[in-house]
Amino acid sequence: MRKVLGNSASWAVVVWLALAAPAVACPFCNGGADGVNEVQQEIFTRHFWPNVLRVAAPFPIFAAIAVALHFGFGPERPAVEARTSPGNRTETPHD
Amino acid sequence: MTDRIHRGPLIAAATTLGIGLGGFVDGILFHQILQTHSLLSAVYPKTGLPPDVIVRNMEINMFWDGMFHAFTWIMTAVGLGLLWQAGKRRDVPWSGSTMLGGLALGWGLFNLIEGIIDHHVLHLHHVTETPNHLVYDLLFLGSGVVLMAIGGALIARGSPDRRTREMAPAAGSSPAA
Repeated sequence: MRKVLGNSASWAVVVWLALAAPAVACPFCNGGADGVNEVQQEIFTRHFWPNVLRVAAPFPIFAAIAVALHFGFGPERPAVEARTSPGNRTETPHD
Repeated sequence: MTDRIHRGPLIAAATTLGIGLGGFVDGILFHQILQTHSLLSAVYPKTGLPPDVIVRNMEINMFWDGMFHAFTWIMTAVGLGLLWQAGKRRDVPWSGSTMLGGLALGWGLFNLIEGIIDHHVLHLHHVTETPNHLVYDLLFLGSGVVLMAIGGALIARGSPDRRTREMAPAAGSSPAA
């Protein structure tokens, strides 16, 4: 019984959230007296794509560094040889 | 079994993850908790203007903060993917020191490169939108250099580690076994 009540309460919350009116965070700019959304007008201008490029500018550099690190460290000394050196494990669970 | 080892995949994965997490530190700490800047706060100022313009500019900045976090999320997801791939390879040493070093290196790279491009080249924002912002911008770059040095040292420290993930002891097993 308690489980059924608990489930009903959960569903009630979900339905209430789904039906709730969205909050208006900016009463000045979300379609004020003249019905014009100033925020959207200001974002989606001819500067939109240049702004996207500016925001994204560092990320191609990060990606290039990641690629360089991935392939820049070439193969190192053989693992077999390294495993026999002091301070390293000499056996594996699969050996 | 291949007898050559490759540290690159783990270093690249950890660094990419560190870049993403470093971006989230910037966004969470400076954009949201301290609210010292937003992504375009030098273009759309949040102070010294009429209240309605400030609120509008804050919403515009919130949008661009979201775009920034989307790119940061992509870096984090790519880092996780690379880490997953590295973990499956038998020729990649599974070194905690290398992992930690990569994370620190990535965080430092984020601070340095994002700082140079956004703060000094494009002037999208500054660490603080105050007249003395240069001091804080340089401190931010300095923190990047320090983190990169720590990361490099930790990666070098992990260099002798040759244990791959397969060789690592299983969870719950005794180290002496």
